[in-house]
Order: sequence, then C-alpha cells, then structure tokens
Amino acid sequence: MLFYVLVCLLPVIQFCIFTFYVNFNSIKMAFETYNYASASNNNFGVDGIVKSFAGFKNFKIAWQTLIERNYMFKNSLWLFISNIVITIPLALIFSFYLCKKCMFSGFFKVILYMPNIVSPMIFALLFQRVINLVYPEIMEQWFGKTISGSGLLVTGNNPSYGIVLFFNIWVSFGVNVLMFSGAMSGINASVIESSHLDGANLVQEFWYITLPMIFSTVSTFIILAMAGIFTNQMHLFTFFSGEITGLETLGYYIYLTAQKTDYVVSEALATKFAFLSYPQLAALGLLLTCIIAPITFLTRKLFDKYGPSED
Amino acid sequence: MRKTKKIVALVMGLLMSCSFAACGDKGGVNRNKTTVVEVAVHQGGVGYVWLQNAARRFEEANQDKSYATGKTGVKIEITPGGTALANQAMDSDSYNIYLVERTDTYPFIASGLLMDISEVLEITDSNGKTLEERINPSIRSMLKGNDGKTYVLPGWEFYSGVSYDKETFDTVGSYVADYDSTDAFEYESDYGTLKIVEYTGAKKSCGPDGKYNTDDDGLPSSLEEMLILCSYLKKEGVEPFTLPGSWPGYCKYLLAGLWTSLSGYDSMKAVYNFGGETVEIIKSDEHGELMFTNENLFEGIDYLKKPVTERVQITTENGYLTNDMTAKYYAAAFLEILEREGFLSRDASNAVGHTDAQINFLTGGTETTRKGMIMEGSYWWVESEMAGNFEDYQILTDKDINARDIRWMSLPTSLNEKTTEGNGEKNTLIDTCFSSCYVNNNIKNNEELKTASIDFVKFLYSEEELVNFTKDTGSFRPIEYEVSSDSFKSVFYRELTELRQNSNVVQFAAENNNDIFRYHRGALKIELGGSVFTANYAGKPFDSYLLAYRAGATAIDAIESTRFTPEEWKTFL
Repeated sequence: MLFYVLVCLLPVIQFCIFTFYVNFNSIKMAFETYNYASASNNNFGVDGIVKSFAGFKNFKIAWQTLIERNYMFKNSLWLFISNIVITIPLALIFSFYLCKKCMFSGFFKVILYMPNIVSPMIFALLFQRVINLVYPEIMEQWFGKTISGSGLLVTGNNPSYGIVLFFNIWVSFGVNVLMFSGAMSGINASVIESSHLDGANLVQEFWYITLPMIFSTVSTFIILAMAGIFTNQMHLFTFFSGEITGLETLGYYIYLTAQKTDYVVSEALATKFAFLSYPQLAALGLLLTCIIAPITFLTRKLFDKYGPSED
Repeated sequence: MRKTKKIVALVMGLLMSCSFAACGDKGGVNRNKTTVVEVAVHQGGVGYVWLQNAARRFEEANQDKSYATGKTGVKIEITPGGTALANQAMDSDSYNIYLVERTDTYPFIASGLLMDISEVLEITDSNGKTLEERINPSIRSMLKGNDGKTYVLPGWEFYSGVSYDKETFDTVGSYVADYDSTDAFEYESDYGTLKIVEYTGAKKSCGPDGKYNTDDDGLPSSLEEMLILCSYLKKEGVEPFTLPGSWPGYCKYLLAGLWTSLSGYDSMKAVYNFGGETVEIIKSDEHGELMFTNENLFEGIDYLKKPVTERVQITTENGYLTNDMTAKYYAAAFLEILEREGFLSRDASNAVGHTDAQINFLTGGTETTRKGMIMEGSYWWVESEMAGNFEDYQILTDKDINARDIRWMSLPTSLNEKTTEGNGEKNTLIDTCFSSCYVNNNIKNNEELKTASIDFVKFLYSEEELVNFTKDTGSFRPIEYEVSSDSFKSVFYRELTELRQNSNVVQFAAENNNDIFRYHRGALKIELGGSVFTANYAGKPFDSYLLAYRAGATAIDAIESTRFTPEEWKTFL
C-alpha cells in the first residue's frame, strides 16, 4: 500500500512544485516590482529589497521590448515555419522511405539517428568548426575561392541566420524520423496489403493510408512546435556564447537575460537596452503565453475536426 | 547476433555503473572526518592556480585544527565557473565562499544573501595596519551595506587596454622620434606626416607622460600619432591591431582604455562619482542632437568629423552627460577607423578564439603575420599560460616565453596634440574587473562552516597571501602591500607592475558613495558586459561597437545609441 502511495505521491509533488508553484510564482511576480528600500532612510544592509504591487507596469515594459525588438519575434516565427514546412514533411517522407525498406534504408537510418546519439552540444560545436574552418579551407584549396570573413558562425561576421536554421532543421530531423517511423511501423500490415490489392501506388498509400493513420503523432509534433515557438533557443548559446548577434529568438533572449538579470534593474536599462528584471521577464513570459496559448488550442481543435481521418 | 547485442548491452551497463561509482566523495575527502569548505572561483582571467596554491598552504597550516567535534583538518574544494556563479539563487548553492569577477554585489547585500565579514577587516599587516586601512579608500564604501557592516572584500584588478609587441616595434622601428632627433625620417601617410626613428636606439619622443627615459618613450601621445603608426606598421608588413574574431566584444578593452587615457584620471572619475568633476563633452543642440563641425577628425578620414565641444561640471543632476564625453567618441571613432582602414588583423574577422588570438600574437612572425598590438585585459598573460600557449610558443620558436618582450601600453592622452617634455600626464589605468570575495549567508547558522570559511578568507587577505597572489597571477588587489617587480619571471608582468606603480587607477567605485552609483551601478559599469559599449543600429542591438560598425553603423551612431536622455536619467535620481 505504502509503495502505491509513494508512487502516486511523486508525480503529485512534481506537479505541485514544477507546474503549480513555478507558474503561480511567475504570474505573481509579473505584477510585482522590487526596489531598494528608500535610499534616503539609509537603514538597510540586509533585507533591503522591498516589493510592491506594480499593476501592469511590467507588462508595459515587456510589450515595449517586444515591439522594439520585433526581429526576435520574426526569428522565432521563421524557425517554427521552417519546422512545419521543411522538417516535418521531409521527416515524413524519409520515415515512409525507411518503413518501406527501400534501398539503403538501413544505412540512412543510422545516418539520420546518429546526431541524436551524440549530445546536441557536441554536434553543434562540430558543426561550427566545419562551417568556420573546414568549409573555407575546402573552398580555398579546391576551388581557389576565398571566403570573406571565413568564420561564418562567428559573432563578428554578420552570421547567417540561414546556417543556424539549417543546423536546427538537421539536428531535429532524426527525432522526427524516429517518432514517425515508429508510428508507421505500428500500422496494421493487412490494411496496407488491402490498399495494394485495390491498386494503390506508393504515393496513394502514403497519402490515404499512412498519413491519416499516424496523423495523431504528426499533429502532436506540430502542436508541440507551436507551443515552443517562444521558448526555442535555436542552439544560439552554443554558437555565440551569449553575445548578442541580431539572430536572437525570444527563447534565447529570455534565457540570456534571465541569466544576467536581477530583481532590481534600473528602469532606463530595461527600457533602453531591453535588460529586463525578473518581474519584467515574468510579464513577458505571460504576454507570450497569452499570444500562443489560444492559437495552440485553436490549432488542436482544428486538427481534431478537419485533420485527415482513418475512415 | 542476439548474443552480441546482449554482450554490448552488458558492457554498456557496466560502463554506466562505473560512472555512478565515480560519484563518491569529492576528491576522496571524508566529510564526516574533515571540514570541507566549498569555494566557487571565476574560471577565466587570473585563473585559479593561485587559489589552489593558497588552499594547499591553508590546509597544511590547519591540518590539526578542529572546526567541529569529531573532525580534524580542513579541505578547500575549488569549483571554477563563469559569471553566472553570482546570482540571486545563491542561498540554495553549496558554495561557501565566492571569488567572482564583474559582479554587482549590491543587490546581493540588499537581499541578505551575503554574510557579515566585518571581522576580516581587522586583520593587520606587519606594520600593524588593519586590512580596512589598507584597502583603497575609493572602494571602501561599496564593500558595505547601509548598516555599515562589511559584506564584500575587493578581489583583484585587471585593466582594459592594449598590449604591444616591443620586439616587433623594435624590429620595424615603430616609435615616434624626438622633435630634434636627426636619426629620424618623415613618414608620410594618408593620415598625415610623422617623424619616426630610423633605428631603435635613436632618440625617441618623450611619450604620453612627457618624461624622457621612461618606458613610454616613443609611444604615441596622440591618437593621430597612433593612427599614423598603424599605417607605418601595416606598410612594414605588420598587422597593427589584433583581437579574437570569435569574441569581437574584446574591442571594448580598447574603448575603455582609450576613453580613460584620453580623459585622464580626474575626468574619468566623473563617470561613477558625479561629484563636480569637469569633463569635455560633445555639445548638443536644442533638440538634444550631438553637434559636429565639418572638419575631418583626422587628415584623410572624411567619414568622421570633429565634434563641437564644451566643458561642463558633472553632478548627479547631469550625470548622463558622461556618455557624451569627447574621449568616449574619440575612442569609438578610432575603433571605427581601425576597422574601415584595414588595421585589424585577419584573426579579428575569423573564427579565432581569445587564447588563439593570444598565441598568434605571441608567435607573430613565426607562423602567422606579425602583430603590433592586442586588445585585451591585463590578465591575458596568465590566461595564455593556462591555455598552454607558452608550451606552444616554446615548441614553435624554441625561445623562453619569459623573455618575450610584450608590454602593457601607455595609451595616447590627446586627439592630435603632441606631448612635449614636462607637459605629459600620469598614466591612467581603468579596472574593469570588479572582482569581489564574499561568503554565502546560508551558512550563518552553521558554526563549523562559518568559522572555517572566515578563517580561509582571513588567510587569503593576509599580507603574505596578498603577495603570493600577485606573484602567481601578476595582478594586484586594490589593497596596500608591497611586491617588487623583480618577483616576476615574465617581462610582461615586471613592466606592468612598474607601470601600475606609476599610474592612477580608476576603480569601479564612487568615492563620494553617491546614491546613483550605489543603486544603478549596473547601468553605469564600464566593462565587457556593460551597456555603455553596446550599440543599437537599424533596429537591432549589437553586443559591441565593432559589430555595429560591421553592420554599417558609425561611431556617431554608436555614441548616440548609448546616451541617456535627461528624462531617462531622472529615473536614476
């Protein structure tokens, strides 16, 4: 009995701390402001930070940051769009290819899963070295072409958003293929056989049988990607070690600022340099949730209603 | 096949269990029998070899001491980390002592996260002077909370600026000749004409300090001279300036160094003091726009103009004007010129890390093109040693690194006025390290850890250990103690020590302990992470001016984007 109680207790405690408390505290903090105890009374050394109700002031500053740094919004959105338009469709096609056990499918399987065995950090650093050092060397040695500012993934060289985007597509490809091919292998073989008897070719099999039968998995991926639009850091920290490059996504910005900031931040620093305090970051998080949560729920509803059906 | 899989799985399982087994007592210390003090230390900069050495001495000295019943001796566990070590969540950290860099400690004091370590200030040196009396007076107030208790101790200094390769300068004769020297020639460049020595032993100019027979003889005393020397170095096949392309933010070292040297000590203090210091600023028009003349900043540079200037007294009311200081503009302009005129090395725009840029600087002329100067913090020599650059240097050149003649540079003190004898200025350095030492208040009720931690801090700040620290790192603490320059093996630190003794150092502190500095120092700090050297251009933020320049911004754009308006300044008051 005790065993069952303990087993049940664990997720409950986890929920209470990591879901309830964290979110409750975050919402509460978004409406608070922290200040040093009055400079004039000069009576604090410890416990000298006082908090008060801020109303919507933090939201105003957060919104202002969002408007002024709108390129971060665009960067986050492009990452999501590339995920939906490129990564997922490609992963579906490759998964189908692997499931049909076509030529070299075993080899492709290893190649595609490999990045997921290696830590993403190591993989990113390898990728960075290839782009910064190997690629310019190849271009120079083999094609006699000097790459201007050879470090394409160096902060100072106007780094290309395309290269970072390519890396993200590549590195997330394996996970998608793994999940989709897993889902595809669960499709009843008799259904596929029956479609063949009815004269369906591979394209028709994919479109009318496979895709509808794994659509719940696909839609989960799309919804998860949507929910993560504003938290995805795009591996920017690994590439640029915290330097601001103009490629920031909102997820990266929040992470970076949260690392450096404090409860009390001078207002001018927040408004002029987008260096938000903890409460202002909490407000920004809430704002972003307000934007993305309804869209995510609506998408799920639409998928449920209009998505391809197994019938 | 199935059998092979089983074997592979078994081996992997065993390997995993090995890694779990490794998670035993840290360093083989039995925490039930020995007191263990956890120390978090900044990973880069001066490194932590000095701390390991000090810890070993402390452990030896206290091997029989008991801090708790049943325990004998003390073990110092050192964990190196980045600037993220210092944060508001430290009350849940296991570290007892912190030795960090570039940290604004005031929020921690106010949050009650730091322990009162006032008793450490009472330790005395061989002359009977207490530590408090020996700490640089300008920073004493920022170590305390408003209750008058001390929560922080000063860490170590490092200076922002430039190191120059004296061997390269000697080889190509890149020195300004004295005005009456006959062993000199007129070098004509796109930026003007400069009298340069014909050979290294020729009579050089008196340098920025205005005194002959000092280390800065022949070094440029104005930015104009420095610019022409860059042109001369380039003509001689030397890359005038280098910095790591992977960390373009290192250009801030040059900016901070030049801003300070061009302003001078008394003016530069205004950026933290706001205490009535007189500074030269760029005049603003009625709309608050900076005003410039039509005159080129330097001959041959038509994209940067001379500013309209005025001298103002800086007070807490108009402190925002420190961002309009002409010296800051000149520094920013000089960096832009270096970038646009091709005076930065190839390393500055390639995927070259900071320690790689250092080794390329050290071995310049052997493996890569010679470099004249490097933008760095003065700690870089130790950092280079830790990165293994000295071994590489030995292998590549078969020479002793300690004899390598690289020196910290006394930077120019004017835009285009040549310094003459007796009219120079004492060199000014700026400390951009803001290093500090403090104890975690989460052990205030743990008598064992509290006593051991304070004992170790006292040990680190004893006269003998202060000297050992400087000998190990080449860096100084802003505390009064004697270290002879002969104590250093390397030319670099010998010369830096002498230069420091003959320089004024601008500390990250307000001598008058004003409230603006106290509560808003995060917005004022001049260092790598400070907003003062970031730039907004075309709707995007850039981590450094150099990045902004590469995106098309000018020095004027950079200065404009970092100014505070009077309205913004009011939020500080």
